[in-house]
Amino acid sequence: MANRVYYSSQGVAVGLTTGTYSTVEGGQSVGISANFSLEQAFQMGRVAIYDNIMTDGEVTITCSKILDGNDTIYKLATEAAGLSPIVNQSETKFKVRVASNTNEGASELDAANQLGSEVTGCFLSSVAYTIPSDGFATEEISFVGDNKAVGASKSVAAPTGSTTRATYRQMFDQAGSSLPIEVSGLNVTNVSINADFGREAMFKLGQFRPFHRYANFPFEVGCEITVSNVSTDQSTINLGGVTATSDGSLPAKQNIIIKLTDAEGFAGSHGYEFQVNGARLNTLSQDGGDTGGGNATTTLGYQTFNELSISG
Amino acid sequence: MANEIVRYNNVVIAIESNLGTIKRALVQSASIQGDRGLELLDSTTETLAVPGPREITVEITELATGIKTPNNLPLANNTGIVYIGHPSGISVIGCLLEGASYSLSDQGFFTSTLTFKGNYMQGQYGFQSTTDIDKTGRAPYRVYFDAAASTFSDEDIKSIDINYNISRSTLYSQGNPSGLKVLNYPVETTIDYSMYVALSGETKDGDFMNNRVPKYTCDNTADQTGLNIKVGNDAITLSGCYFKTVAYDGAEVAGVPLTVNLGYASYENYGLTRKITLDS
Repeated sequence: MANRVYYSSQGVAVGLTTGTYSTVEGGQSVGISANFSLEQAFQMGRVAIYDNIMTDGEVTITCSKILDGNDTIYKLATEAAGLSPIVNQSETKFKVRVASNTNEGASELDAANQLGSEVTGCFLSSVAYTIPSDGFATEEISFVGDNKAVGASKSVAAPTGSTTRATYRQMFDQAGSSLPIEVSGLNVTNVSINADFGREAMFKLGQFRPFHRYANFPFEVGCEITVSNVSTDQSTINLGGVTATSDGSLPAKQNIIIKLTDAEGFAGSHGYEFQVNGARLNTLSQDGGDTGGGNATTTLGYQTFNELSISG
Repeated sequence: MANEIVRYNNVVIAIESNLGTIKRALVQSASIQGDRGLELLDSTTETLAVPGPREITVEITELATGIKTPNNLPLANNTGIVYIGHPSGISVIGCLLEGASYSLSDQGFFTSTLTFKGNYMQGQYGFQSTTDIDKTGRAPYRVYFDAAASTFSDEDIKSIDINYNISRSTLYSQGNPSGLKVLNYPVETTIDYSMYVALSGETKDGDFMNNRVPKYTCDNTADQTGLNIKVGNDAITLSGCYFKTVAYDGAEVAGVPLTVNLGYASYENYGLTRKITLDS
């Protein structure tokens, strides 16, 4: 039995409920949490608690990986080819395994000597992508499920350690992307995209386990783009001129496409593409440039609903 | 000045009937409302207020570990006393069951509410109960519902509300100040289901959900059905139920799922005693 678990001794694998497991390559972190909702019953005539029932339970797994030219966790789980709208995965069920070696000194995951956890009946809960100018581009995905089983049979195969390369700022394809007009041509320093399905459990009389966890449509998709200021923010805001047939000079709805190129010359590496359709400017904030010494930046937040597609 | 504020742990509810004095378990709330029925007599010199027919209403809400028909509920066919408070409290005398309801929801606890009406009340110090209430146990919630033993077992039932409307009139006769309680017919029982609508019935006629909604026409007057409901160890059959209302709700763009609410009504009288003499 190992004395500890650390990055090289643990791994994550995901798959469709009806499919096979695929190990997440470039995995950075994983967490499993279980939450039980409680409701207390008291009764008149006694101060002591009568019962404290569990009204619901759920297991949440959150894992992240570097966008390293290998398949995203989203693609490994969904097996979706090409540009995949996430709404198509609202009813799909997945399974997730997290396992660690029983031998602390092993150089990589050893599926024959592991103790693992397997969460089944999972739904996609949230997805998030961060593309910074300082650091690796990452993906973080959360699943929510009903049951967690454990044991030596819940093993995870070692990642292949392929020859791809972690996505860094030079792999952000600004020319190939379709950025909002407000940031076109500016020095983009960070892009983040996120969506949360807002899962809600559905219960019925006679059964403890929820019979479904539905995606709470419409769910919000956010896309934040930060640019390094070359002046104070020059975005015009003019609430005049808006009529029934015109938005005046206010920003229009836009389709945002973010592309990350493949790591050229690295075998097996591929790029990534994220499409946020029908997005509208929601927030705009300028920050920094203070006496602390940092440079001024402007972050533009775009909002749409349901319309996020992922490739890679 | 009172020595102690009365809170839930200081209050016990008991019902004295022909079965003895039995404490009620899992009581969540209780209320008493009294009306002396004052009538004003005007004369040329003054206005006199004269007590008229009295009515004291006691309402008790409990966690429902089971479900019963009205004839199996306390004080359905005999008058009795409802005590509230311990050791000192109030006794409401001449009580009869005049309504009961059950709320079985997928959220929160199952509850029942019993409504009693008595004809007078007085302060009372202490009472002797033949039972005590359990200190701990399981509180009833959605898993207490036995779907397999109940009607609509293949549907996803969100909630069931049952309401027994038991109405009684007080009749008076010369020389008798207390009067009689007479059951008003019909005794109406309403049963309202809320179910999630699924697309399982796509290949069938009429509805989203396995064609559950009965024919809803003016000429379909004979469609009575029995509804079985089992909670815990208690199973009831509400016979002679008429399909009465249907309403679809939800599935709007705010995102909540579509539900259908089916309302039934029954006019069974459960063999309740028609005429009961009140205590003087």
